[in-house]
Amino acid sequence: MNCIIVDDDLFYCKTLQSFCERLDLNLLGVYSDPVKALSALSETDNVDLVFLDIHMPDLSGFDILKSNPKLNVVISTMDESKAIEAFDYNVVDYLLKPVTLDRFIRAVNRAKERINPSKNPAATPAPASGAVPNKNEPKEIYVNVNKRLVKIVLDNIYLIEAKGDYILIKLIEGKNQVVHTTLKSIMSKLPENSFVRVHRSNVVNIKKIVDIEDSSILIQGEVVPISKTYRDDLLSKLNLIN
Amino acid sequence: MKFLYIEDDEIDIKSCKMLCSGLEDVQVDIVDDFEKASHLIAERTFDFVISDQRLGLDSFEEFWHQLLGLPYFILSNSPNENYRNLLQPPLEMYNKPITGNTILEMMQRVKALEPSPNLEYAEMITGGDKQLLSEMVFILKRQFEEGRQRLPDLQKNNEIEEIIQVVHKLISKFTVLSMEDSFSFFNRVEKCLRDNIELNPYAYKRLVSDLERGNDFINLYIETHELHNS
Repeated sequence: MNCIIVDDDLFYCKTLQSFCERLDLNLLGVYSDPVKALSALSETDNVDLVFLDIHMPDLSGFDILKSNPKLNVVISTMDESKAIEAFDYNVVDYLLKPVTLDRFIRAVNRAKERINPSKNPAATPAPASGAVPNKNEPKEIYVNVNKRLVKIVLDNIYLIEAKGDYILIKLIEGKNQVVHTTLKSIMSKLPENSFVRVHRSNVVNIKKIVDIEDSSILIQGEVVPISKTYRDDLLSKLNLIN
Repeated sequence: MKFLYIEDDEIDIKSCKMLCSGLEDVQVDIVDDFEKASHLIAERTFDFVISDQRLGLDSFEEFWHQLLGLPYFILSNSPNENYRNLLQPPLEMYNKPITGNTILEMMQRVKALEPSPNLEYAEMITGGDKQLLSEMVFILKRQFEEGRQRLPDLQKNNEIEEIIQVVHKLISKFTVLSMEDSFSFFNRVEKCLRDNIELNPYAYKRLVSDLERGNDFINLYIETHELHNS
């Protein structure tokens, strides 16, 4: 995997560099100057993963994300308050400094899964849920799309996102559906053992969760933020071994 | 240990004086309003502060930021639980009347904040590579020295944005050194400055003294582990 590091702090450049070497990642460059990093990124499409700081002089990590929306990025910062904003850019993971090797490895695994989900066994739906299936639970719902009632098999849904007056239903197979309704309304039609709200804008299918970090969930190769408000509810629905 | 007691009730003041006279190595200064307390904190050195939450019409809510960096306790007839949500909450809140055991407990809490720095994180990152460890430790040393040297001038010139940058860069380095109380303090300082809350003089002194403490430990580590700057 080809990587670069963008961080104005020499201490963390060395830290991440050391971690990359230990994991045999192919480190293409280490940039303490984000402007140079941006310039380098514009000249190549060979970078698989970027380890990116947020607070840097001249240019922030978000500026780099805005210019390169398709990059696979792992944020490495000491500012925990930017996590939600970062996940809006669809970052792979969000690491808090000082980063441990264990946490770094998990971030790299998340990146690998996103880059190549089919080759990674974790990409198959994991039995993360502790919910007991209920025979009476609905197996599908019908939603109104352009005055047509479209059937959606619930097991095919992995994520539902609020988009203003609409919701986006993200499907494992087939075209995602945009429906004029609210998260609250659709939640009332979904089996509560299978679907859980994890953020004011996101509902996930528990069965499709691959892993859960402090502030995020990996699901179908996407990283979804968890807000503190909904975290306990999510955990209460999992088959946790303490 | 020396502490400042902020109290306007005469009976409580007398109790405190009497209790402290019976305790070894305890000194106390007592003031009866928050303004005097602010001046005293700027002039003298205290290990901690005990404060009532209301003095006449003045409330502790208007004062807490003057204690930024100083451990403090609230002592009141009915401590305000909201204070636990302050950016720098009290270490503990006690109901009056003050007792000798309460003071001893407070002293133990403050002593427990004393850091015992180490560089286990850097050792873990470098995985036994002594040259890399040297490089990383000397980077830390430079960053602590630079912060320590720059902060007084930045404070003198009131360059708040620059102070924020320096503080921000150093916050996580205290975790690297396992100096968790300094980490929390630097974090709070950054938040205060970003919220345009003026730092008290004690907080500026503590920024520098925490950096000196970190730097002293790094120097000792370099010496005992015979590290060399390449």
